[in-house]
Amino acid sequence: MGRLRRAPSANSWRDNHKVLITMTDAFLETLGIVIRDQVIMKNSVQINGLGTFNPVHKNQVQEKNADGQNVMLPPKDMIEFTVENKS
Amino acid sequence: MHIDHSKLVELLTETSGIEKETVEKYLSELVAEINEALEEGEAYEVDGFGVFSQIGENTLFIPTDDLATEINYKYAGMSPILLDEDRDKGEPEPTDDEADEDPFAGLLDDITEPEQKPESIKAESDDIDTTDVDDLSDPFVLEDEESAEEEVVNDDPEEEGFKEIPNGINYRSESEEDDSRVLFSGLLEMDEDEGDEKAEEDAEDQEETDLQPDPEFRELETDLGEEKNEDSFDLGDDDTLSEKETEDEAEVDVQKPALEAEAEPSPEAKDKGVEEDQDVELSETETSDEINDEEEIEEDPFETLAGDNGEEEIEDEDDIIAIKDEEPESQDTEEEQEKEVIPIIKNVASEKKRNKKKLKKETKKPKEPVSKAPAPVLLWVILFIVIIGGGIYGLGYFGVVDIPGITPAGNQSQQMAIQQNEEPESETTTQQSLQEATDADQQATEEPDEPEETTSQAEDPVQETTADVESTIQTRAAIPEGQEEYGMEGVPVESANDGYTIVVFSLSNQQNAEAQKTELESEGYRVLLAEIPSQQYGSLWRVSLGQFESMRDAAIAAEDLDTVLSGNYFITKIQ
Repeated sequence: MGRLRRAPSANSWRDNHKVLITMTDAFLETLGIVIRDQVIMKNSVQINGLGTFNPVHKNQVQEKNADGQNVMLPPKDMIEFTVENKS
Repeated sequence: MHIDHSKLVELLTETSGIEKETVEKYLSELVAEINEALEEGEAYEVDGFGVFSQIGENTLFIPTDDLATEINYKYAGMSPILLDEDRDKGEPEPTDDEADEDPFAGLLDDITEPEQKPESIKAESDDIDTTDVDDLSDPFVLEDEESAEEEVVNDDPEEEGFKEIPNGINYRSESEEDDSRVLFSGLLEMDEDEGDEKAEEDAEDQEETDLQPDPEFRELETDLGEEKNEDSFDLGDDDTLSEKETEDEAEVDVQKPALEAEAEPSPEAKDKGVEEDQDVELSETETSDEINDEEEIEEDPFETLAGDNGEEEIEDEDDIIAIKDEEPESQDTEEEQEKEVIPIIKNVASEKKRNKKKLKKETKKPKEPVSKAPAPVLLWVILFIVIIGGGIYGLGYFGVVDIPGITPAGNQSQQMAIQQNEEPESETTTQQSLQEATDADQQATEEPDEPEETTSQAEDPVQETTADVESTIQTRAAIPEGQEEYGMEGVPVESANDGYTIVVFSLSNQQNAEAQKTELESEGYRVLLAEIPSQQYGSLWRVSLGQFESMRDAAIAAEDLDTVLSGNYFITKIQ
């Protein structure tokens, strides 16, 4: 992973890029909430040009630890991102 | 259900209140920024959402901890369950025993090693002291005394080095005490022997009298012995003087006639100078009141030389110190007196060192418990504070107490989402999603083909891990005939509530849960309906199947469940 670039806030966006109309913090926050809620409802969310956010459920799994103990792992809900096939 | 781009824009428009065109423009700008960053090999982070990163040709999205927790809110806080609990319970015991044994063994090893060294030193010191006593028993062997004194002086560095061993201080002090006791007892024995010998003075056994002569002549003999030793030392006859009792006996035999001759006025005594005359006078007039301070000063060294065993000299340090102090003030015009005093001073100095060491050690002894006593108290106080702090942190972390900065933000956001859901007038997507989820639950009761959708409301993971869970499991106290205590079918029994169960539904609506329970009971399952109260999400109703003694039994039974029920279940302990 290379450098980390952050989604600019409204002020820094204007200062650095001198763009009059830019994304606002409210938009970014709303985007996160919408995608989260849809994933919680087991809905996949597609963003054109970027990819799709998919809900994934992992069932309860029995595994053996490195020390030889059998452990029952709890179920888990996760979010997976699939990049859009640009071809 | 799939939310495509257009529907996403609609949701964003409804949620944020921003115009649709603006939302589309923002979204396209964001996508362009992310793609640009990924093409440049950089990661792109959206605050509160996650990080997009490019590894090779794969694009990864890593959600933030808050987002991951919120998505997994149904199961968040659930920890893995050990299946081999019985085996684990049995195994640690021997290890604990071993662990208990090993530290003691280690401690013993650690302690015995330094202790053995002092004991060996103690034995050496005992040997030295006993040799001193043995040597002192023979008042005529002055060089032996001196050599013993030298040995003692030579041993002082060892003793000082030995003192540096903390654990050895007590032992050394005890050894010194033992040495003093040995010396003291030896002196007592000496005195007794002397008393016996005094009673046996009239006896004709010359050997005994030679070894321990009459006290009247002792001082004279010692004086002569010293002078003869000095003379012999000057002559270089060290061997005759350094030899042991058998040889000393012969010497004494030779010296005794001379001493007897000296007791009577003889020209030899005159030749030896005035000192000897004074010594004789002093020895003869010990009990007289005419004893001067000088004579007393002279007596003490003689007594120390004669026996070096006197109880008063060993016990009375002040007398020795006083003697030492008075010596320069006394009439020391005579050189031989000074020569006689010098070895006494050495002996006194060594005794003083020993006594000082004893005093130091005695003064050190009470300090040790004083310095060690506060340490455990501080440790207990620190431990108490840590436990309290940990408890408060745990309460805050699990949401029992809302502590800003400690309570996870995910729980707070979830709580906020639930609260927003309870307000019908708000128009957030969270409300819609939760409302849809509730609707999905209601549909799930009618359409059990989608078990994923049936678990609508959150099951509070916090309540799972804590003891605040209030279950309303309806069970029977007695096991019906023909039914096993544990199993998938039958009627729930109270005695099997210590086992595990398979949770197939987790519903927020009690009626739906009751309906599921009735339906499953009609199929012959042993159904448990438990209410899980949650401060954050309200009450949850869990429908679970079977009562199993172990999680392994529950997992085996879950594999035989219908595909409808086996799609999304988890095993948990009956609460």
